[in-house]
Amino acid sequence: MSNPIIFNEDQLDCLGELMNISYGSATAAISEILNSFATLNIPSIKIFEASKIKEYLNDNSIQNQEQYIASQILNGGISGENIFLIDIISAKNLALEFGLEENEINNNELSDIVLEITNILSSATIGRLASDLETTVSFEPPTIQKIDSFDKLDDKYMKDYEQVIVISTILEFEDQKIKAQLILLTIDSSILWLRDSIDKILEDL
Amino acid sequence: MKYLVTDDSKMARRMVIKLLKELIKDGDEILEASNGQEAIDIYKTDKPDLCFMDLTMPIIDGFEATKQIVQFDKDAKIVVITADIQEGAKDRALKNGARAFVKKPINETKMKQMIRSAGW
Repeated sequence: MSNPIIFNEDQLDCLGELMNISYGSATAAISEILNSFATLNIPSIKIFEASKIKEYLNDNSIQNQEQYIASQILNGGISGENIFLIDIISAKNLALEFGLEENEINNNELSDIVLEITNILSSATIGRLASDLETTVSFEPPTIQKIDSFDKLDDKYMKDYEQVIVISTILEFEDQKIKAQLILLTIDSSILWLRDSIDKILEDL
Repeated sequence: MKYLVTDDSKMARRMVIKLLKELIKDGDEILEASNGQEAIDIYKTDKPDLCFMDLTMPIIDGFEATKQIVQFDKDAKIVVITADIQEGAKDRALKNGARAFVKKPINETKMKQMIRSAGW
């Protein structure tokens, strides 16, 4: 295990503000599609060993029921994964907002909608962050799993990373009863790159 | 002139203050608050001429702080600077008494345009 990567208070504050702007773009993109207003929450930022991801998700996830977990690999200046978590009821409400009838809603349709939303959120969130940090990021097609416990989460999340920076926010459309969570995981080299980029921003202030 | 910059992010406050410093005159004062409650308290004590207000903040958010400040002083000049770029957020902030709504990140052009268009 390499030495833990540490961000000081100013670096964390700066990253939080950048993510706030990125999540603002993502929320606006979805609220435009749903023609609705979402509550924007303050992002939470944590850096820890990748082996603790399941523990983190169990302790911090807003979901406690069957849910979809869609993830999209990111390559470039910001490398890692963008994860979108949504419970089944919220996913069904999302499907209804997209114009599906109750009798049309099935696992395939829900997966399709969640994947589409993941695409939109990833490009809005990471696209904005990459632009603010003057880098480029490419996206692989998102994949999806339906799970009823984080203990059943694919172990790739622990195998592929040593440390992770987890940036999480809750997306909430109260009128439509839709609540979801966005989590960004980045690999060690990207964490260091992010920290250097943030230092450059801070130097200019 | 007194200015109040409210944001829970120190970096975001620094960005606004950096731009403000290029526009203000000698003797002008810049005050800072890190949440809506602090902004309300500082407003009541110092009565700044112009306030810059973030929306997504702990303790009291910018929507509520704007509302309470305008209830205290109907002539309060509040500019919202936010990452929440939804139309609904803009409508709510303006309804609560904000005079202008600016999307983050703020830059020199946006700051000058906003001050010019508001006639400040």
